[in-house]
Amino acid sequence: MFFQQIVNGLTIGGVYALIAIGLALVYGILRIIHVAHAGVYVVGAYAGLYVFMLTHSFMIAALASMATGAVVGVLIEELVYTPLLNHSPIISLIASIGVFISIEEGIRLIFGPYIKSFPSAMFSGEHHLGGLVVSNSQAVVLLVSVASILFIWFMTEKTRLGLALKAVSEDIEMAESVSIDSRWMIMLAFAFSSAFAGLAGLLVGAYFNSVYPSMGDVPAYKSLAIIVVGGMSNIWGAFFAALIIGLLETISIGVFNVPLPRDSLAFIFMVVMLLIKPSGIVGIFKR
Amino acid sequence: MSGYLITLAITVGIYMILALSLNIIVGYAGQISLGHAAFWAIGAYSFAILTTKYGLGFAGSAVLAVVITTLVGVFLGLPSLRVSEDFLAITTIGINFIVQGIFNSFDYFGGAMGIGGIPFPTFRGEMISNFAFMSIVYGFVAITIAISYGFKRSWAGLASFAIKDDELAASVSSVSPIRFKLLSFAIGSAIAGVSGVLYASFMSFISAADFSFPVSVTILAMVMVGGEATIIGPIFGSILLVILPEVFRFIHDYRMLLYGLLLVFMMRFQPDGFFGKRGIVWGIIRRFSKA
Repeated sequence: MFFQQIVNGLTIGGVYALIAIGLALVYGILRIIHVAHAGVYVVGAYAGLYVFMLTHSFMIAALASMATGAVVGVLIEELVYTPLLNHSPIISLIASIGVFISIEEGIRLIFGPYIKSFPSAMFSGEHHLGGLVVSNSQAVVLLVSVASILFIWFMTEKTRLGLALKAVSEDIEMAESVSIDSRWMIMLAFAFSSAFAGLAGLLVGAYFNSVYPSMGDVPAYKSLAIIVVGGMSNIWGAFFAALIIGLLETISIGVFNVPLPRDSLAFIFMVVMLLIKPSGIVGIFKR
Repeated sequence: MSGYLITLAITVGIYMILALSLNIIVGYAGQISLGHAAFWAIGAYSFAILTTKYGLGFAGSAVLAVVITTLVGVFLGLPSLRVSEDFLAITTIGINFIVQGIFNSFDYFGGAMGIGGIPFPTFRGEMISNFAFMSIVYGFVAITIAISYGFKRSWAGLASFAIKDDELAASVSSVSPIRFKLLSFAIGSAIAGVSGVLYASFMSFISAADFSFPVSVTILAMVMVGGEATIIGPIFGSILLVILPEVFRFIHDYRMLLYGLLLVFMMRFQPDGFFGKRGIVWGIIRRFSKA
């Protein structure tokens, strides 16, 4: 039972990580709390659902949700965030919440308020490992999130592109002076992180076999708690924080029956974390 | 005035008090708070519990509820002092979710069923009319405006503005940021508590869903759309954002979409709000006064 909950928690944590890493990347570059990131996640889920209905192929659906996510993310950046860069952060935060509400409501008006499910369950069957039951959908979610996170790690740590991204997030003007095209880099970062938000939407939709307009509500604010626990712009911090919060939720609800609602646990953990170590999880190991 | 108009006026008045109280925290002290509905909830819930569970009188419970809200506001303001700007915004979102979660899941607070039977003010044993209640609400609106005005003009207000502009420079001139941030949190949450008492008494039934995070966003939007750090701004914002949904009732389905787009367009083209420094209203007045 306990180990079963750990598997469930890691699965959920992996999905949180896919969303939170993108959020941390965006915060690192533009210092914007990108609430609308969860709107991209919903758009990705819907794009994946409809493409899957047409093609019945998970690969094509995944690519479609990533592409749609990237386009929507770049549009938000170009039309809303870039013009607001010189104003105080609260203004882009409110604009971001406005974008998020508009996306969710737009989707509700176009596709209807009801829960949609995949025509054939995308992955059926399960594996038994000793006493553990790992369903196929869980395995896919885990594998895809681990693969994506390794890919993001490779891109940001091992390539010249990642180096340029780091430079822009450190200091935009300095990066420009060594002839890095910062606008292009910002766009790339948004395309990149939004693609993975879209993918996360498809994965969650397939995992619970339901896609609906308000599915972004919980991830929108929980991923904020996650990046605070992880240290705001730290990608590895966001990754570990996502896994820890995923585990914390499933174990405290599933094993210990904590009487609090599931979604406020992440925030309680966040407040405790802020009181102990405001610089986040990674700050504990670094001195 | 018809019953509908009076109800609408009372709702507008309750939101005016809320928006003005948030304006003291956000506009004057520069503390981004996205969890103001939590303080509203604490005021409403303490009043509801004191009257229905402990049978305290109306005035006594109202005063106690405001005191409780102030204390909790200062207590919740303490962890917020350690963090600034973006962290603060996320912390206050968290406070909203935690407070709503607690009210929603403990039986002491009525759980998901909420609390009903909250008393309406009485005069000589008889319930007062809605019109009289409206006068009380606008009395408190007037008091809140007076407090806002006084705070803005006082030494504490000046100190808060200095901290908002440049915290380091202010602390070098021996203005203690902690003291004035806490002061603004205390005043802001006390007034939000007053608004909560009025709301609970008027509705006679409250549940945790009334104080969810979107409500906090709406209150902040009232301040920002009207123009932060002004007094007319939050008043105008609360009138606009309460009346608009009523006017657009006939296109019920599109209401939230329009609301989201309004937020985006306001921030994109009028980031200072209608009555802010570079707001559209002053621009129009200036143009006409020159001609």
